[in-house]
Amino acid sequence: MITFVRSVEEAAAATGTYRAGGTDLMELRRHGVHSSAVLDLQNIEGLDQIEEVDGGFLIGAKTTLRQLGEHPGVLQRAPGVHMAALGLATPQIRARATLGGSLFQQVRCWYYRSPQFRCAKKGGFECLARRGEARFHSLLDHGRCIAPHPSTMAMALMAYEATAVINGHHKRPLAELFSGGQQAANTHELLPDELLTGVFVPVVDGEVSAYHRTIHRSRAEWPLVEVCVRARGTVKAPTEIVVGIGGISNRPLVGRAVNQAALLELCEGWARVDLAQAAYKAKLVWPTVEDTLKIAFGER
Amino acid sequence: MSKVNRRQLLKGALLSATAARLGVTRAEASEEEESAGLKPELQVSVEVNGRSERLAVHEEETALELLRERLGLTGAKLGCGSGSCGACTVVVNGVPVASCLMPATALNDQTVTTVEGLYGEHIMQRAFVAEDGLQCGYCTPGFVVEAAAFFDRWRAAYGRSEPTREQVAEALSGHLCRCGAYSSIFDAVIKACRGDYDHEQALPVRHDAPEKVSGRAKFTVDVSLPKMVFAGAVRSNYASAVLTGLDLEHALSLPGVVGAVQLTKTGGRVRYVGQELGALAATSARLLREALVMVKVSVEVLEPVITEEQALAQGAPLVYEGKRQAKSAPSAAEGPILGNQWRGNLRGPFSSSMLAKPKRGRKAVARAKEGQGSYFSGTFTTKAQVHTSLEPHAAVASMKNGHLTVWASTQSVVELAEDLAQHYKMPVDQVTVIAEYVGGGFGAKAGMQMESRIAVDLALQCGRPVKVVNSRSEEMMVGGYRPSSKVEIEVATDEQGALSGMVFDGYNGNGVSLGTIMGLLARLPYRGTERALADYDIVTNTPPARPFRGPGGPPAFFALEGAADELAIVRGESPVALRRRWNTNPVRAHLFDWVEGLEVWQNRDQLRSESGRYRRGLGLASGAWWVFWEPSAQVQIDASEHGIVASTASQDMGNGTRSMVAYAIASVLGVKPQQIKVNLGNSHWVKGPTSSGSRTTGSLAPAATHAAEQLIEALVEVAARRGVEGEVVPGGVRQPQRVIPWSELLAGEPRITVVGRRRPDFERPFLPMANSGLLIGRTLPACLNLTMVEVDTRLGVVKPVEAWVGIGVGKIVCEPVARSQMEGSVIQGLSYALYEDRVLDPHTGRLLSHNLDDYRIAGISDIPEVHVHFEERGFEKVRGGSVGLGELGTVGVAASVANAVRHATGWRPFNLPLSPKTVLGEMA
Repeated sequence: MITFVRSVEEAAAATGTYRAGGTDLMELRRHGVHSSAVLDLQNIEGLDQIEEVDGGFLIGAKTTLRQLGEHPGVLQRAPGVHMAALGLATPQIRARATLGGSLFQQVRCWYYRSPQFRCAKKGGFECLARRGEARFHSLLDHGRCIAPHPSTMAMALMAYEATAVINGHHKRPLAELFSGGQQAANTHELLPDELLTGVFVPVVDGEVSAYHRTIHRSRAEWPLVEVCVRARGTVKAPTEIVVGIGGISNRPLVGRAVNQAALLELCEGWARVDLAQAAYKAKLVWPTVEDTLKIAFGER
Repeated sequence: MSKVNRRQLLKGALLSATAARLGVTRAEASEEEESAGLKPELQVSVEVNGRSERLAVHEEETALELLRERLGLTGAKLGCGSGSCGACTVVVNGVPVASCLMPATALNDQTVTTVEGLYGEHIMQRAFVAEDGLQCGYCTPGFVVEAAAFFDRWRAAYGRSEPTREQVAEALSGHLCRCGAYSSIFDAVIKACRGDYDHEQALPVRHDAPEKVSGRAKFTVDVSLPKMVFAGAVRSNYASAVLTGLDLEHALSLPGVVGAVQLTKTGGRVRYVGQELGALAATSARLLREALVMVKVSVEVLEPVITEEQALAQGAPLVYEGKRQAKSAPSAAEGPILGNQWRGNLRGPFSSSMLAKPKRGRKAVARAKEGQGSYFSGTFTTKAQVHTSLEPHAAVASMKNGHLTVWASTQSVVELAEDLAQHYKMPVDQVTVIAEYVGGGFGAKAGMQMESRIAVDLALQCGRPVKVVNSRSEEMMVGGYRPSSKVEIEVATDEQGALSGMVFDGYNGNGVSLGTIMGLLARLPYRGTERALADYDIVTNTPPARPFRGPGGPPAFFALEGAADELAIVRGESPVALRRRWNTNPVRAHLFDWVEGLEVWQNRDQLRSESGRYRRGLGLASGAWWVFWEPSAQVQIDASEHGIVASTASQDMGNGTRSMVAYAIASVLGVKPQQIKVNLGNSHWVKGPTSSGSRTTGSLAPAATHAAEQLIEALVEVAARRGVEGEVVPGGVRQPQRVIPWSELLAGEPRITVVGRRRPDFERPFLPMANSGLLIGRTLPACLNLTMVEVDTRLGVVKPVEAWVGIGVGKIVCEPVARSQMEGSVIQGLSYALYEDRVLDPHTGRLLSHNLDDYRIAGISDIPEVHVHFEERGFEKVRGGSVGLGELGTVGVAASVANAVRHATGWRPFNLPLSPKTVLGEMA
């Protein structure tokens, strides 16, 4: 059953999975993986603008990734967010996919997405990837589901220390929505009576930033490892580094480092091999961080 | 922001107004939906290609379904259903979107342009036609719509400047072309942007290009008939089981279900996940989907063997309990299944002493191992490669007045008609198979397959036309794949570096099918040595492998050509010098001259760097393939004042059969190929060849030539009757003042009909193949693949930088189409070497790589420039002087990539594909 809600209040009060662009949910429903109630948001006015406000950007939850990737202000002041929005999926998906949908999409796990399997996220007893094929899965084991967190935007916005705007007024650090990994059916901890209406991205002048993913093919591929960094200093001696990393864990991870040595140490911690099938990803952690840093400082 | 109003639609005025626009068939189908209580209930107002439409849609409907099924705009195609392939792309409010993932309701108050709305007149469409930016045409509407939108943006921002390859690749990164027409797509987009086609209306290279770029080409998935119903298979979820019950009565009680058949008998064995247990027909595709998951199936589950290791383990359960059961096994080969020895789940060896000398081969290798000469041994493995035609297996069957018509996505209209006639015990002249456009095949669509059987079974049962279309996940599961392989190879040279012995043991992971041959291929490029060649099948409870473009070739040459390169390195000589010594084929000798003349080859050692993150290298490999032709192949020409029309019951699955036939005829008559119309894709034309084994050109070009020669004779008679005598010259008959064109001689004459045959070669065939109506030619073609790669040693990513292919298949009949085939061969080979890997769950045998995100094929950004060289000498004894090339160009590509990586890094890859996991894990 799909309900076309008319307001934020109606959406928050009703029960169901929110649908904005629908790019993820349509696939899941068509393939028999999602069949419960849907709350379609297309009749809710607004929520699709990027506003340049004091100290940052206020981005409506229904803003498309294409809009984000084309916004000159975001490109200039938050290049990491800009590159993340343009680095994911394909142009035809980015034209429809929204920021909100991108944050709360489901895992890309091939067990989860096949109707032939019933994994822990679908009410089964165990994570089937753990004893099956998990080459694209996580490197780090945070319990239960080992699918990497699917949201590039969540990781990048957490690196930006963004704030979620809920039900139009309530604010929570975005990181709070993604702290638990995939312990339940969802990939986030938004409560049933909460609808994300926007994200505030603070920007600080004088720092550099970038997003970059390591993939096998050249484009249009889910990341093996992906990184968003913000830093000051120089490429050889970066300081005040904030780095987000995805593809290696069931939640987006963000760390801070005061200098290159601390950054190396941080990355070594991330490159520990909990799950052997993804061991090669351990070798990708540092090169991906380093490549991203170089891009941020304009060296690549 | 748009609004959708949920309200019940009243039967009556509005619905019938809608129905009138939709046409009769859809109106009837929706009435049935209503009687099942599932009528559409949401209203959408949308402007499509300039027309305002007001439609009632179902809540789960996609924008693509609205366009295709409600408006009949079938240009946009369902490719993957996951937004990965781009075949469904349409423009909404000026922006291209993936319509397969867009709710139909989201179209409310929007403006849509589909490929039909470009009317074949967009500059980009002209460019695609002129530059031949397509093969099978299935992905083409998506590419065209996206490229046209890119063009409009580009022109507005940058005028007539030229975009870079990178910019084009980024814009088209959401599209996949399985045929690999990317090189010409780059050309089309870049040249259109810079203004080359602003005025010019160039002639099409490919005869069917105008239909394909405009969305007018109707593929099997686009066929819609009055009263048509939709059918699909009930498939096994278990890899090994006995079917104990299939409740068809219950199935028939489900909403919308009008037919049900059983395909595995109760008590029968289930041998793989995806096996067809039964099939249902329902009044809509949605009701069919909903019904299929409700069917009550009971099975007794048995322990399966999924991996080859499990299959060979002591005491492993048997996939086939005995030879009798194995007789039902499908074939993974294009020819007969050879040999019949079994040990558990291992079948083989097939090793013919006529073709190989096992004992002497082993002895020669042993001598070299002891130090007399050079010796190499290695074990090479490859993974299963899924055909991934963008048009899935599909069939529509209709029985009318005792005549069966089947539209099918097939490589063999004749064979399919014959198989259907035999299976349904009908005279073959009461069966018609139609395949006007086929969205890729690559070997997986020959003969009668399950989709045709389901369609016909249910059409007979329901008395209505039935349509069957595999979903992408079904296609990935049971649509066919190239087997995984393991090759243990030992190769020896004598002290002078001549090839002295070879031991080749090939193991094929065929699933439940049998008969892949690699060993025989390993003796093709270099003949006359002592060798022990053996092939084994390892059967598992996994879906059947099917023949795939050069079956057995890519893994065989990955091993053999890897060994050749290693021996050249051991002996301190150039890879060409060693292979020249081994070679006995004069065509290949010419190709070695070509390679040695390439500047990039002469400078190959300057490419390399001993250190650093990025390393470049150049790799060479030989490819070999047989020559097949059908002696029964015919081409009919009907010539009249209305034009010259050629017909044959063959098909064009993107390989360019239409253009090839037209060029062959045009070159005899001395007219433009575009003046010849070619009818294919109907089993009732004169007999044409199956499109497999690269037999099409070798069979049809001589028949077309023969027909054209007869037409000239007939026209000369006409001329004589009119008192015109003169020399026959290109285009007509020479007179003192002018040449009288053929068209003038045809004016006012009754239609002339001639039939050309494929007459024998000027040498004896090598071997006729049993019962298949095929002959093997004696003159062998040759191919060399040369690939430059760059290895990112930190990330384990191998990127092809530039590729060359030199191929000797005699006279090229239609150069542009042949070139496109070669580029596609190289691109598919690169994709195989680097990306493709079908993954099954090792416990259940269920498919994991079930979509085009998890099963990776090369996109436009992944392919380098491909240079094609044709060597035309050496085929004087072949009728027509031409043989086929579709397979030969691809079999050596993976080997050349591996040899390039070895050249770049010093590391020899033994396992494909070269993913970061493999490269980082294995490169020292």
